[in-house]
Amino acid sequence: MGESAAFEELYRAHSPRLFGLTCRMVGRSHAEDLLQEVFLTAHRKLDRYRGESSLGTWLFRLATNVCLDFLRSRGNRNAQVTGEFDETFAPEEITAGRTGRVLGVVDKIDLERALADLPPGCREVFVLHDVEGFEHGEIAGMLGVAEGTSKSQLHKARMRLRKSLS
Amino acid sequence: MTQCSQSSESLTDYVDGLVAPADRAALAGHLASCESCRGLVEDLTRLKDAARSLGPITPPAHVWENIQASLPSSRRQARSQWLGLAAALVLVTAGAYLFTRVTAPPATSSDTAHAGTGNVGAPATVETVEDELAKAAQHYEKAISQLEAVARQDNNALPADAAAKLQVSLAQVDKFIAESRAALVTEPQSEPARDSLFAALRKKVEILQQTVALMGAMQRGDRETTARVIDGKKS
Ligand SMILES: [Zn+2]
Repeated sequence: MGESAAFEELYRAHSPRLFGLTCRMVGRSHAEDLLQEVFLTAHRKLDRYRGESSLGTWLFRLATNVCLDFLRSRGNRNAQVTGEFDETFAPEEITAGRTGRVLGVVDKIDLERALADLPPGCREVFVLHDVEGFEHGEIAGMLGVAEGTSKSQLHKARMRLRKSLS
Repeated sequence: MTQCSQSSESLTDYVDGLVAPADRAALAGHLASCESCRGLVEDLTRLKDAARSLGPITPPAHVWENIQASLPSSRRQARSQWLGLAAALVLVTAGAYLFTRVTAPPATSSDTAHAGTGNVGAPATVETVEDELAKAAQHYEKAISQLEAVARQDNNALPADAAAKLQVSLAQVDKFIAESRAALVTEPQSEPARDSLFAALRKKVEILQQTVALMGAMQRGDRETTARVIDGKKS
């Protein structure tokens, strides 16, 4: 198999999952650029890949880092620092928890839209935990925060989503 | 609705299966009698299930075109071998993915999420199981033949004892694959027969991957990795 065919095969196999990740982490309008960056970086670094983890895992870590770097650099400009987590709940978010069931069937498109409106920080945790299936310990490592922070941000994201989808 | 002192964080933990067994019964008891908390748990579960079902998104075609246009045009020849290996590993991953989907029991909403497995699709129907099994087997076989080609290409680069060890391992696993295949021909519906065929194919992929990793380490003059692979230890 030639190099370019092999690399294209790599792209075909992994780009949909990574594009889903980038769309949800940074928003659709920046996702294409970041996906491109992920694969160009992968191409540069592939000879350092030693087969110790699956290529899918390796690429996923790379994509997560590219997204987080992007969010941090944008956060610095827009004063929306990703690493800065808001631990407090607004009063209406607390009372929202005390109203019994409010959700019907959750439509995927509505959920994608509500997800895009989440503040950074809790959105990343929600994507990594609930969409991608990582555990809090792993997410804490990726984001460089305490495990408890990952948990409280997840809770906050879910409560906000519940409110905006109700 | 009456106010309730139960913290909503503890209900999130409950949905994620993170409540300690000792506290779980008490919480379940509370849920049985508190409509407001029960409603919240139902909502959170529904939300979590919906999030898990958000699948991959296929990027538009021009993204690949842009990537291709940005790739450096000339590369050292040595890289093609590694990219061939990488492609083979893609196929192994795809094979493992199909295998998981076919055999994994359907996850329930209260399960703790599986780390890093991505979106595992809905459990396959009976009709698609045969088809997916066949595809998974094809992926393994393709990966195996590519890894074999890479391993053959540089066979002389292996130290004699490692090469001998490799030959023995491969002969054993080939024998096991043949036996599993024969069992599957006799009993096509037998799950143990399927399981052992896939286990044998996975083993062969693993042996070949180790071989290729070894050759790569030797090319780089990486003694530590070389010794580790020969000893059959994982880092
Ligand atoms: Zn209650």
